[in-house]
Parts: sequence; C-alpha cells; structure tokens
Amino acid sequence: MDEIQEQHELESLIARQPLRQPSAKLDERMSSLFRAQPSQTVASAAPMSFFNRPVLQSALRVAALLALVALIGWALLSQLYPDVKPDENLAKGSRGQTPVQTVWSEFNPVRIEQSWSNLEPEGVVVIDGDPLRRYQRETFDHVQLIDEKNNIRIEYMLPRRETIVMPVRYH
Amino acid sequence: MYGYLSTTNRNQERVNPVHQQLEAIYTEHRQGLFTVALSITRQADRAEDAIHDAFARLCRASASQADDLVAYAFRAVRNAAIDITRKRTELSIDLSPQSAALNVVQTNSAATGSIYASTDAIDELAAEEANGLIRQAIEALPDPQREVLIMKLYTGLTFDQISTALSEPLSTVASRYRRALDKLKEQLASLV
Repeated sequence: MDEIQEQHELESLIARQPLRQPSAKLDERMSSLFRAQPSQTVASAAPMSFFNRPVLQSALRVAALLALVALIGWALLSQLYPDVKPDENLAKGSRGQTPVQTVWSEFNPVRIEQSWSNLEPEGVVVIDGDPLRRYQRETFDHVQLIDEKNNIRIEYMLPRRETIVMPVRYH
Repeated sequence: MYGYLSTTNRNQERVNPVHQQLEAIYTEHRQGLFTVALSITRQADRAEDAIHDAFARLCRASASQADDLVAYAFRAVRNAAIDITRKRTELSIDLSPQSAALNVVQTNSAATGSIYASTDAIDELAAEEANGLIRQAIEALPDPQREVLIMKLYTGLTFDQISTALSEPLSTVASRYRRALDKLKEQLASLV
C-alpha cells in the first residue's frame, strides 16, 4: 500500500513540474494550416465528380473566357459596322461588285483545247554507263473558255519543253 | 456555367472532418505534443516546426484510417521531431542536443532546451532547487525510459496510446515506465 502511495506521490511530484508553453506563433501557424487545407484537399477527399476534375475545370474556364471575348468582339463589330452583315461582307468584293459566287454559278463556258507538239531527236547520250536516245519535245497548249451568254472569253497559251530519254534497243 | 461555379463553392465550404478532428486534437494536446517534441529536439523552434510538419502531413494524408488518431498524431510529431533533430544535427555539430539536455538546473530553460519552465522569483529558490533535482534525475534516465515517462505524465496518454505512438509493445512500454519510476524513486528519496 505504501509503495503504491509512494509511486502516486512521485508521479504527482513529477507531473507538477511547470512545463514550457508553446508559443502563440505556433497556434497561428497551426490555425492557418487547418484553415488552408480544406480548400486544397476536401475536393480530393470527397468523391470526385466529373465536373470537379481540375483539367475539366480549367478547360471550361478557358472556353467560357473565349466565348466572352467572341461575344464582346461581335458586339464591337456590330457597333462599328451596323449596315454590313457578316455574310455580305464575305461575299462582296472590295468595291461592292456583284458577288463572286453569283458569277461562277452562271459562268458555263465552252472549253476549246488545241495542242501543237514538235519532237526533235538529239542523238544518243550515255548516262551512268547506259546508252540512251534523247529527244526534245516542245508543246504549245492553247485553251479557250467561251461563254456566249455572258459574253466572257478567256484564252491562255501554255508552252512546255520536255527532255525525253529512251533506252537504246540492241538487236 | 453559373450552376457549376456555385456547386464548386459549396464543395469548398465543406470542412473536412479529418481536419476538424486534427484541429481538436491539437487544441486539446498542444502542451503534450510540444513537450514530447521538445524533449527530442531540445529547441523550441524545432519542436514547433516538428508539430507543424507532422500535422501538415496528417492533413495531406487525411489520416482517418487510424484507429486512435490521438496516438497517431503523437507518433507523427515524435517522428517529425526525430527527423528534424537528425537532419539539423548532421548540418551543425554545435547544435548537439546532448550538451543542452543535461543543464536542466540552470534557470534559463530557453537556452538549455529543457522541457520545463523557469521560475524567477527569489522566494521560490528552494522549490526551484527541488525542481532542479527532479529534472536532473529525469534527464539522467535512458532515452526510451524518459520518453515513456514524459508521455505518461505530461501528455495524459494511456499506455495503449503510448504503445501506438512509440510503435512498441504494451509490455515494453509498461516495463520502461516501471523502471524509470524505480530509478527516480532512488534518486529522489529525500523529496518523496
């Protein structure tokens, strides 16, 4: 009995020792730790829904920003050019002529092609040890596009010069 | 879009229950946690760093799976204190904790790294002398025994919790405590 009492006395003697206190600075640090953590980790602790994924959130933010910029841009353009509709702007030429699409849809020409060709032999040449017969061919392509209905006539000439080589046949 | 944003805000306002538990544990056991950390680090700023680091880790890990979160928190703080002491002792030889640990009779506890507070009043010189003897006797205990003694008497933990905090069997913890008390009883016979 005495032994147990002695032990209790000893324990209480040791436990009575004044202890050093942690500073108020630690309390501040811990408080900010507990306050800061939830916003960073609650999302990960909670089951993550599809719309809570960080990548998707960022993408949605960017998309929203782009949509906002486009809306503001469209509003500004509408203020600056109130009379011109966007589709007219695209279709019209710089001088406000007849729309290009209209011209091409009505342009239905007759196509006339003529070709003149001349082939001149230039003898036998040796390339990489092989004898080859070389020819020079000159061609003139003459193309006419005639649309009588709209009174449109387009004509162009295309000259071409080609070198042709053929292997020499031995008999 | 608006609905999405408001949902996010609601999520962020929710408080993590584990963090709430950790905060409650800190509030209730801040003195004990600090005493345990200080008994290892011997420097108040390091002890506070250890507590902060340990709780930051616990918050990140959301340590809800622990059976006894109080014991788990003490264990985390103890490990952090050991880590800090080891790292900083390697960096600076002059900061050896052993040199400061034995000077517990001196009144300037902040300088010595003692876990005990100093008493400045002249009237309390006798009490201070007795306290000095007790502290000296405790400091003279082997580290494992002193650790158990401090945890038992200054933190309010049960033997089970101390066992968890130290990762030692319950019987080992109990026998260390018993031996520590026996030694102190011999040395402090005049005071008891």
